[in-house]
Amino acid sequence: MRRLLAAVGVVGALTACGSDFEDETLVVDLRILAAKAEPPEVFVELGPSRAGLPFFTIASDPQSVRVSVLVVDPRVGPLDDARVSFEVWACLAEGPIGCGSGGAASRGDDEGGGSTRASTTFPVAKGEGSLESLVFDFEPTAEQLNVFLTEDPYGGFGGLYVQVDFTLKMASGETVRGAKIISYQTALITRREGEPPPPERRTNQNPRLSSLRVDEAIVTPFDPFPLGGSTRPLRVEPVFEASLEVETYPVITFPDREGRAPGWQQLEERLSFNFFATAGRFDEDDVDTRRPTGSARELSVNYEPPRAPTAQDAIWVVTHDDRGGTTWVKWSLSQGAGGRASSGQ
Amino acid sequence: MLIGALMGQPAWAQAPRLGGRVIDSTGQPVIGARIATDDNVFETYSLADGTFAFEAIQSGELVLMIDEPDFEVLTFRVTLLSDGVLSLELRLSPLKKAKGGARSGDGETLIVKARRPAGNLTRYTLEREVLRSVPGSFGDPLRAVQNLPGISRAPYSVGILLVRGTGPGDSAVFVDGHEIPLAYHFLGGPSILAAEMIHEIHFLPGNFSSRYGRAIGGIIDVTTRDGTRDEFKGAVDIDLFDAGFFVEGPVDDRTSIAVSARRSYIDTILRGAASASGKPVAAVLPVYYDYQARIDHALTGRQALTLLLFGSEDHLSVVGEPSGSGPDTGVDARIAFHRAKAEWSIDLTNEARLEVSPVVGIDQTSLGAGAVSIDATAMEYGLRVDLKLKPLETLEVRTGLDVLARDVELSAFVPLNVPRYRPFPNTNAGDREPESLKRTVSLTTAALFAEAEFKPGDGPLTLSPGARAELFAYFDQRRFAIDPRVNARFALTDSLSLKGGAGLYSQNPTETRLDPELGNPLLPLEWAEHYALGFELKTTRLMSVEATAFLARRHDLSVPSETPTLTADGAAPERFAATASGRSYGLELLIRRELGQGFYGWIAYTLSRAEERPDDASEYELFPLDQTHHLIAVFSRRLPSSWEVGMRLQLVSGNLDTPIIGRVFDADQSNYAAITGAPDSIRQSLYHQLDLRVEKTADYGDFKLAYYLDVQNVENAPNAEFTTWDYRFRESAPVPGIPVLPTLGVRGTYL
Repeated sequence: MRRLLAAVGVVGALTACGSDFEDETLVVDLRILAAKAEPPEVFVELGPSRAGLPFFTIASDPQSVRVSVLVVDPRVGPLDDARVSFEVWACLAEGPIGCGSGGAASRGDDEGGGSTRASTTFPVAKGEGSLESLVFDFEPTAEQLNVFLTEDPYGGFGGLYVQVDFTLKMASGETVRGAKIISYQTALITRREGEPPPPERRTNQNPRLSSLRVDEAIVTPFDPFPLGGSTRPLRVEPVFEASLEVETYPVITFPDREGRAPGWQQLEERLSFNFFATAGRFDEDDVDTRRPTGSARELSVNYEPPRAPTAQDAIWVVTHDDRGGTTWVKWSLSQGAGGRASSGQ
Repeated sequence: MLIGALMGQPAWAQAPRLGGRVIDSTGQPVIGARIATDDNVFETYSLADGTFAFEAIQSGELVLMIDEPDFEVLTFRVTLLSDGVLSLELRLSPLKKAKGGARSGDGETLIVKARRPAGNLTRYTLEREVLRSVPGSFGDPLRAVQNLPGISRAPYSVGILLVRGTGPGDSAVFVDGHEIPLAYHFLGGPSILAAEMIHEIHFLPGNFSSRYGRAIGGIIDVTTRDGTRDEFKGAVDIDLFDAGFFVEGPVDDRTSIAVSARRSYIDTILRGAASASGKPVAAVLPVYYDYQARIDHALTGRQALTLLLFGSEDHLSVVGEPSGSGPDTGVDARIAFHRAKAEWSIDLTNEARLEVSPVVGIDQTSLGAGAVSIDATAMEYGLRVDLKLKPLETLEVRTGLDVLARDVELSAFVPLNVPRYRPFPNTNAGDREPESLKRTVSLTTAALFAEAEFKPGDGPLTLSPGARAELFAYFDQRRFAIDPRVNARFALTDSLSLKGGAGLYSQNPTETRLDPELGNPLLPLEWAEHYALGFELKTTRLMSVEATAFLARRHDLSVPSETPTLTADGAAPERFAATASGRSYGLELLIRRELGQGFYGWIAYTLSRAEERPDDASEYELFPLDQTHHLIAVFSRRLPSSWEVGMRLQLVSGNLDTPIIGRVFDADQSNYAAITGAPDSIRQSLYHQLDLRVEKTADYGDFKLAYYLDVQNVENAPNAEFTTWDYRFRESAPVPGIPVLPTLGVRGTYL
């Protein structure tokens, strides 16, 4: 029923007048643009097997994960208070986004999910950081992860996904909230009788943005952003070096309805990009945040630079893979000589 | 007055054994005249061409009367032999002191009746001539049905049936006893049948007869009509959206033919307008056509043969181009169906009639959006056998067979909604690469049904027990349902009757949900209980009030399930589970004024509540399309000089909505998820729509031209259907419904 209503709503929206909502690519106030876990995926040590669910247990505390949050606010100047206090919770990452505290958010299509979830929530960290450099460490114990495993509807089949839910609060009192998933996997992959053995499994790594092509110029993360001194639109394209960036990985497949045991399947990682700017304008129709690697579509956007960029103006390009890997690169903009770059990768 | 009578040779091919035609002193047909026996046991009404027929009547000496406004009362006596067939021509004399305007015989008169039901507790019946003049319906008969109690308003007037709080897949539309896949063209378009081809539309909101199955909501049963054998007649109808024609006439003295067709052209008009404006416009418009052809032949030995061909096609066309080269908004959607139906009927005796009706059909559906495509072709084969018996004066029995077989071939290139491995959480299905999918699905149902209408002691009580036993077969699954049903009516007085009923109803889940790879073939049948209690009161000759309190409970409804099925080796998604249930209850009221002194009208009000829950452990929540209040008032009046004006007012509770109280940034999907309040806990503002219609008929003897202006939503009320939000759920804006929508048309009728 809700899919039908959504379809009717799409039709209605197509035929209705457009609304003047703000441009998603334009950063005008306090926002979380990205969050990165290093590493995004952790192998765990298997505990002794046991009858029933879950399919595995974790024997020892896993490797610590450092989470970095790209939180920005262009209204905050160099002399303003840029401190950000944070509070972080952890819970199972199946179903709604966010942990129980403060409410969980349902996905758009709530036919398959639901907006309520009863999942154990653990406190992770409290502290203080600053805009654009807020980090905390996620160090769950084996006991905590084993609690999540018992709550996982898949019993750990295909891995354990934990989300950290962080609420950030500015000195002004303004708050924003975000969530990031961290994957806990085993190194073992099963195979069906007759299947070839799967390749060795390696943990996922955060992707690296090799460079941008701005008009015809290659711009690395450490190059200045070439404004060219004019406001004519620039063609911006992420450059993806297949030999360096493409990861392939095996996944365990479900047992099929004929009763065949789980097997494995090799997948190729897919990258996507998001573009943000504090000034100027990205062409909304060009920005499609989910473009699979190797797609025949041209991965480029038009960017109209501002007439008079200030030292605080910047653009960010955020890169995602489809397994929780994230990175970003920032280019500061300034009039005349071009911008400066800094990297979050 | 003059009465002419013919003995022996029937002038019509269908069932009645006593019939004829009612005309006035000028020879024009009298429409809606009630012809009844003096004890009111048997009654019928004249149609647009003045003809009438009794469905069943006793033999012997009968006293009949016609008492119509503007005419002298006509009483006459006939002797009907046990195997006799009698055709009468009844000429009515005008009242010496005429009170109102002249009655027109142009066939455009509204009559809304609730006839004494046969197996159905509540049945609203609309004759063909009704439906033209209801404002806001653009002269479409099936649209006029949506002004009756029990039907909820569909967003954007899309042609889905929402009956007593059920979903669109829970109700069914039948044409001459066989189900069709859709009743309306896309996006609020007209119905797929031309008005001239329709004899009657019966709307059964619940507690329907055991003749109908494979539905747990309501039924719309459309009966088509045969062509005239007198002489050729025709009509052409042209308006802003489409043009159509109708022609009927005799092939020989035993055979008639009726043909109709229609084609839309609004897309051509708006495409030209968009091009002329020079502005980029993105709008989705339907392109449609439909056709019907019927041949009737009277065989010897009280047999008749009918062949009906009809079909419809809809295609969505995107007008104009979106700006830039951004997200692909290309849409290509097409749905078509065609049916060929035959019917052989025979009056075995005066008390027994047999009808055998096979049907064959094809349904084609295709949808393409970007790289995704879905094509489905279904072949359908059906057979209905109906045997009607009247072994006693107080007992009628009906039994039969209803078989339907569907073979669906599905070919798709889609991202499968559920991958073969556990995906990263909250990954959208659209991110997956499309995969080729081919499937053949066969679904066969076979039902035996039986029902009776019994008047114990020939008293005021009428009982209608019935039952339907149906076998559903798909893949390697077999499901069997026995659905007992009973309705009762008690005539307290000649004008006041009480009614009540209860019954069980079953249907299979949709074919997609039963698919072994995309769905769950282990799903059981969905089923429902219907209960109703009410009364019918005829306050005056032309005024009546009907009220029905209803309760419906639905069980084993299939819903998407993310619950994995766990085995010793691993986990696999369940996809669908039959854990949901629903219930709806309320009161329906219909106050109507039948045609008289040149005007008619009715008020339909439904007070209801519809709820659902995903499983028995959960609390009931409001059904997304719940509409607590639904009021419709229709009025139409004939004015001098062949003018007619009408209005329709609709007031409906606003659509349900879920408040958004916060948001969380999903760092892995790089978008925001809304934190919602209680689901469906707020409503859009009250929906109100006023429609007006004006028609002027010019009479040129055998040829008439009617010019009409039909304006929907005269006030251009915004009537928000949904709320849209910005990317981080901080700002919102209402999405308006259909704006003011005028249509100007002309209809030419020959004879």
